[in-house]
Amino acid sequence: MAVEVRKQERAPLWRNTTVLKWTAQIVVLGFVAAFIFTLASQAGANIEARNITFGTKFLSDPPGFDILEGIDRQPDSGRRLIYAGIVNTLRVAISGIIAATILGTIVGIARLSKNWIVNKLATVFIETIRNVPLLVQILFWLAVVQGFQVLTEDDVGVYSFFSSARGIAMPWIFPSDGFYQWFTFLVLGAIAGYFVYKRRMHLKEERGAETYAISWGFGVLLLFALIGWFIHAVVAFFGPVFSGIASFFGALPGLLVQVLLLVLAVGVAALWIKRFLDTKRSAAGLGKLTDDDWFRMIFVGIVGLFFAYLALRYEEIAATLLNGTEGFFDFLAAKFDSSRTGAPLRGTLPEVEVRGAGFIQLSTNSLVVTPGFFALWVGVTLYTASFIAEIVRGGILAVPKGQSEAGGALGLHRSQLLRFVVLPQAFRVILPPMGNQYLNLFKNTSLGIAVAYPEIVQVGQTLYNQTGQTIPVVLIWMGFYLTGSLVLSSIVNYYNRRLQLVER
Amino acid sequence: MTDETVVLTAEPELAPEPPPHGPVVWAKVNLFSTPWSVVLTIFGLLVATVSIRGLISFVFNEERIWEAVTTNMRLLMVQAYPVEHMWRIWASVGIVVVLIGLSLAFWRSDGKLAPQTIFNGIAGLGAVLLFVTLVAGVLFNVVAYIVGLVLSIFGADSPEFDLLEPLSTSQFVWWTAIGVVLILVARGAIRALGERAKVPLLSTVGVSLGFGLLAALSLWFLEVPVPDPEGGVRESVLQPVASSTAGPWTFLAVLAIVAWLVGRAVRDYVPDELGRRVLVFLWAMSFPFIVLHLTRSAQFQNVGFYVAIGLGFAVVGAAILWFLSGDVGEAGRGLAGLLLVAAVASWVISTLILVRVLLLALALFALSAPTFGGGRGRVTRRYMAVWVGAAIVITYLMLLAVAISAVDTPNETPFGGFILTWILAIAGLVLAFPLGLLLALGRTSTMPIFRLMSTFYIEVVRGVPLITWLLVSIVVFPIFFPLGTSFPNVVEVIVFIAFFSAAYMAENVRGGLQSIPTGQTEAANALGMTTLQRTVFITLPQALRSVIPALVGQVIAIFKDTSLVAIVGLFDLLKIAKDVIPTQSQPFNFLGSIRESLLAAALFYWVFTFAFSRISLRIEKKLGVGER
Repeated sequence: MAVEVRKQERAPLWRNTTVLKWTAQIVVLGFVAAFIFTLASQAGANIEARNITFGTKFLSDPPGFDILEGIDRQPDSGRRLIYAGIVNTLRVAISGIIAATILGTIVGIARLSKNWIVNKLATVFIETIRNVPLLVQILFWLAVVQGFQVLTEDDVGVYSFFSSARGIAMPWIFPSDGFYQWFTFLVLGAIAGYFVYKRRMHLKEERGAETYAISWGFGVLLLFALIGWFIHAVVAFFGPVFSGIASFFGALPGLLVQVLLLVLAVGVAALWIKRFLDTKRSAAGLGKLTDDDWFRMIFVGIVGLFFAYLALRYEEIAATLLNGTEGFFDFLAAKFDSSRTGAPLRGTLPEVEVRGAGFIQLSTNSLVVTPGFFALWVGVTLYTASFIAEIVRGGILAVPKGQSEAGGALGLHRSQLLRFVVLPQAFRVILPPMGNQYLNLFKNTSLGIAVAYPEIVQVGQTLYNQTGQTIPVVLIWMGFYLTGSLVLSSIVNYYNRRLQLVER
Repeated sequence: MTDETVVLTAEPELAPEPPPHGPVVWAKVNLFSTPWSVVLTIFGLLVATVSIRGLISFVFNEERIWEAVTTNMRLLMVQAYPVEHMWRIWASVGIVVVLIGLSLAFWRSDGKLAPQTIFNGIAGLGAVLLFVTLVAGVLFNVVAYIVGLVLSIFGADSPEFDLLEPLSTSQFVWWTAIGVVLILVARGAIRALGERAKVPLLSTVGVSLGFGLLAALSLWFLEVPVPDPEGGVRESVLQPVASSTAGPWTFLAVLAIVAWLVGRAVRDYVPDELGRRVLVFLWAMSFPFIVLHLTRSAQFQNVGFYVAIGLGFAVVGAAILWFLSGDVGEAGRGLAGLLLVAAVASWVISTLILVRVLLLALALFALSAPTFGGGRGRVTRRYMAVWVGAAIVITYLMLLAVAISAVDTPNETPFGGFILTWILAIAGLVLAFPLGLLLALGRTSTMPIFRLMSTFYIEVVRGVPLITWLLVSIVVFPIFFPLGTSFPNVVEVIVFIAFFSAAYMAENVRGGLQSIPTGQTEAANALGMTTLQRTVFITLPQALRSVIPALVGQVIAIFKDTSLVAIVGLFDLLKIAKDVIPTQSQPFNFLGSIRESLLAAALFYWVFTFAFSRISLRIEKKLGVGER
């Protein structure tokens, strides 16, 4: 039987996988675009019919209401209000992340303890906290605080600690008059301390003897802080410097910044493409580029050009950047004013005071943890800690037993084993899921809306209830949370890359 | 050379020394092994004592209004569901219970348990009771006494404490006695059984179901505090649980056991594969049946018309599929493509929604006919049968979707309370699953535009908190629809919960997809499989299998996350606990009972999430994920 050998034919167009795949993608993309367009035009028609105009005017208008706590309780513009909300969110998020990490690590280690009662306590803590919805817990903590005593006239006075239904007041140290001058010394001390630490570590490696590098580093920092406490007024010359920088930025033409932004956008895109091509290049020259590679490069190029277009088309972007920088340096210049010579820090004690006609409140001079903050902070901290504990436990279990056995054979204590052998290795496993938990905590602070804690979602909701500007507020929320998530995950990814074993 | 004979003398085998045991040894090893451990033990005991003391004095405090919870139990569970229709809720739970019983039997999830384990558990319970009353009570007072002494040295007033203040003496004695009896009975039983106590012969499922029945039976003897109708404000009396609660629960517990026993008897006569497929189908259909049909008492409209359309599609579609699965070359593709165009067109022009859905489904079936349909043989007939089944199911679901609820409630939907929590969780999950699957495939795809779109969707949705999306669903979502169309808030919220959890689910599934060795894909390619065949038959099944524990975790997360709907004003379990019960002043005064009702809600959530997490552990162990 003769075997018919056919010449290699090109597949017809409708059988060519590349063509088919691209057709499918473009068709689906078209459908998605059409769908979004339909929705958008419908929304546009509805908005017109309801006589609403969405804009940015509400950002500069006074919002018309006060918030319960924050850097600015009577904000004079919507922009300022949202800024106060952001600061409140970050306040809970950052303090919560620190507290949850510490608590979670302790509970996670306790969960592996050989001591029966400690082990059981940790288990009960984890299984109780993480199996109850966070919102229920937050509301419960709020109810607990609100069940505290109500302030009466008999309570007026100064205390070392005071808890009431209006909040929990505690002694605190606040930055005061000369704080920024003193802070300059702290920064200088930190830099100097770091170099001393490096030097001592170097000596330690050379001599093989303990050189107390950490103590030295902190000692230098402390010395700077101490000296700075008394002579911090000498850096007042920074004031004029900063106001000079501010006026420099004020004098810069907007066009220059626009051009700089344009160059930045195009440059970053070009750099990305170049790096991408470098990865495809080997000793034998540039490898074959797939259609996927082409797509990536073209996409990055388009995105770069798009940003460049934005920078050119909207002068407001450049103007906002300039104004912001100028304002920042003006702010610093005011803080370094030569009249500010008082002590850098100011300690306060809780105080119950009478304001107005028989209105009794906790003085805001000391730190007052409001019921909303307390409920939200305790809620997210405990909840995240219970998850972090499980992550820490898993990470420690993931370290091979031989490691701690080897450490034990070298004569290390259990605590030394944990500190020098197990935890550093466990950290590598722990970090990525830990980063996820930080992100969760950050997003969970949005539950402040349920306890009237004025974080960004809560102030945003009040704002659109007042002004009707729903879509702009939602966009602000999305922008804030996406930026926050991006920043947090880049930090975690950065450390993650540094910690990963380099495999050959 | 002398013959050396090696004499191997068998040494008498020594049984290994049984490790020393007894409470003293146990305490030495587990509590006082090192000085550090002693410190930890003392610290741990203090923490445990203070927490237990705090819990008891909170729960048994005279100011607590637990009547608010017991009186409002129906409100918490089903909100304003009419009493005369309550049998529908019970029937729904009954369906689920029967399915659980059958599934337990068919998936052979039975383990063996030694009687010792159960008795040890009972003894442990007794020990906890003893600890709570005796140790925690006495220890707390000892500590309080010492603190008082120290304080009095400094001239301060020493605080006074009674023995477990909130507990009455009779409660104290009873608890101690019950604790001692439990320990003695359990120890005695283990001793009486001797070696037999260690033989694992009890079925774990049987024991669990038995305990469920015991719990249901205990409802007949339990007394709960209710407000005293003749007493003053906040006077309460103890009353037995209503038989309208105890009765159905007992029946359900028996039903579960019967279903399990029936399943065990039947499973030997039915192929496992078939039985499980039928059960999966029943599970899938039970949800729409319960939610849209049973609990709403759905009143169908235009049944004849819908059925005619559905049957027509079934028959015509089957014929088309038969045609397509033959060797028809490019004509088949052309026909399938035409169907797809028609389906898309039907969504643009105004058509009956049933026709749109059926047409779209038919187009998808037609497009994948060459992949799954085989060559006009047994496989083709099965494929056609699946299509007919799909057409019938779709028609039924669309009939339900347009049906009117005959259950009259003050809400826009008949659901509220814990039932709503479940509906949100399950609906969110069921709708999210297909979307999550598509997104995961898109994100791991080699096609850049799909990858870009999926990545964009996933990252944007995950980057923003759920409460923001829920606010969007209530406030912004309606703007995108023509004026006058309004959806119930429940529907809007379900849609957004589904969109939200789809992004998380996609990331879980992606983890599974990326864990599959490349060899699998390469082997599939070498066999000449198409992309669709490779995905459906090779990659997805393996990926899904390996991410089942993660998906159960996702179920837990959604279940807990549904509580956020309370913020946007839906009357779920939490909303009722936080806003409704604490504001009741008529006919009984429950003002200020928020901590009680919140704790009750927390308990309901806890029981189910804890159970889920245990199930997840079991599945993980059974699948041996990470050990293969």
